[in-house]
Amino acid sequence: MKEADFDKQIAQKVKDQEITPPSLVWSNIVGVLDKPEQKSAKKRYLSYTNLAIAAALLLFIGVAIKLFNIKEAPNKSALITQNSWTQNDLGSAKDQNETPSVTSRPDEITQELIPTAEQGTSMQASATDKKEVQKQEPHSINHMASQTTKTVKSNKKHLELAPTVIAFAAQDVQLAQVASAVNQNRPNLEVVNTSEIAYTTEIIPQERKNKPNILVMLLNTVTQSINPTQQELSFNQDEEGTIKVDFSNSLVKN
Amino acid sequence: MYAVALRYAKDTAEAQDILQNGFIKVFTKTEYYQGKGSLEGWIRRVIVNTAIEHLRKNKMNFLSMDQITYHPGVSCPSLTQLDYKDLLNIIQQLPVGYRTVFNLYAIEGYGHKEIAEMLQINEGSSKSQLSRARIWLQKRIQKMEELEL
Repeated sequence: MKEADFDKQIAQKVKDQEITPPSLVWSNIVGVLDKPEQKSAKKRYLSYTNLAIAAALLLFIGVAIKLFNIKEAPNKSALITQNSWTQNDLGSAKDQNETPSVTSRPDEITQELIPTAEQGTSMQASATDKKEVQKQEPHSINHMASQTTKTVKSNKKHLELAPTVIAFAAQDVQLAQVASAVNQNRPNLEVVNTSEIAYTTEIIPQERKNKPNILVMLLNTVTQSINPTQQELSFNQDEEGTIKVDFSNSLVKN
Repeated sequence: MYAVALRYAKDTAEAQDILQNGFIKVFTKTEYYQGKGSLEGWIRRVIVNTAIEHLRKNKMNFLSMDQITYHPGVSCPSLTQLDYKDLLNIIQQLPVGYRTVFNLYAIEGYGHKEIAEMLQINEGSSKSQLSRARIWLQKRIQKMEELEL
């Protein structure tokens, strides 16, 4: 007998046979087929829970970020600075040089803005040669700067004897227009394009140092809420980050 | 379909598992039936595939050449005296690899290439498993006939 015939004989005997399976198998099949609905309901519940957890986490993170950035400066890149020295300042020019400047340019601008002790004495002479800047000047400067939607940091006290080096962030307005407008009214002012000035990384740390810590803010808020009428206690933070307690009550001080 | 599952299983418990899983697939994957062939043929294919999957999960091992003893002189016995239950009993006693390849080739009608793809083996391995399954079956049937006589 050939192998193919052997296979055929077995196939004929086996292939079309029917055997009824036990009823237990069908009940198991029905039981398993009913389960997926429960599973899907469970999955749906789990997905809602996960969504709720995710939403709560996002809300918490958002609130935390908002709290930390609540007093962040809105536009750091558009700082317009004015650096001026009084005679007293020139006397303590060495001290000024040690403190980080708001803006700095690596070459000549830096030299103009931050004088060394030797330059301080020379600028003392040049400051007397130049006309004094009147107190009304910041208004006109601010008016020009408002066209550029920038802010001007002016110090009226220092402007009285200022050598009048003023920097503009003239990115949007043509610098020549600004310069000519300023020179018409105030010829003793030098306009410097701050777009050429590379801001040092010292700007942000200095601002952050002066900004009160979130813990300090929290402590002050709690103190105010405890006794809103008599503020005998306040919290401050120095540049190093140490939290200091100020007692305004004389009894406590003594 | 239970008969199909019994041919691929070593016992009734395994066959019932195959049948149960196969019919769950039939009921949950009805969208895969495109209506081109007969429904019975599609269900049969599902049961066969479920059986192969079941055997693969249980780490189906094909016997190596060393484990087989050849009986070249075995003559092909006559199957007329054997009934279905006896023949099914002999098939279930086949080693799992032999049984699967013999079922797929001799009864279901698959080619060696298809079997090799389904079982993830070589074509040559499928052929050798089939020939050894035949020899094994012939020997067993012959023994059974001798006992009956």
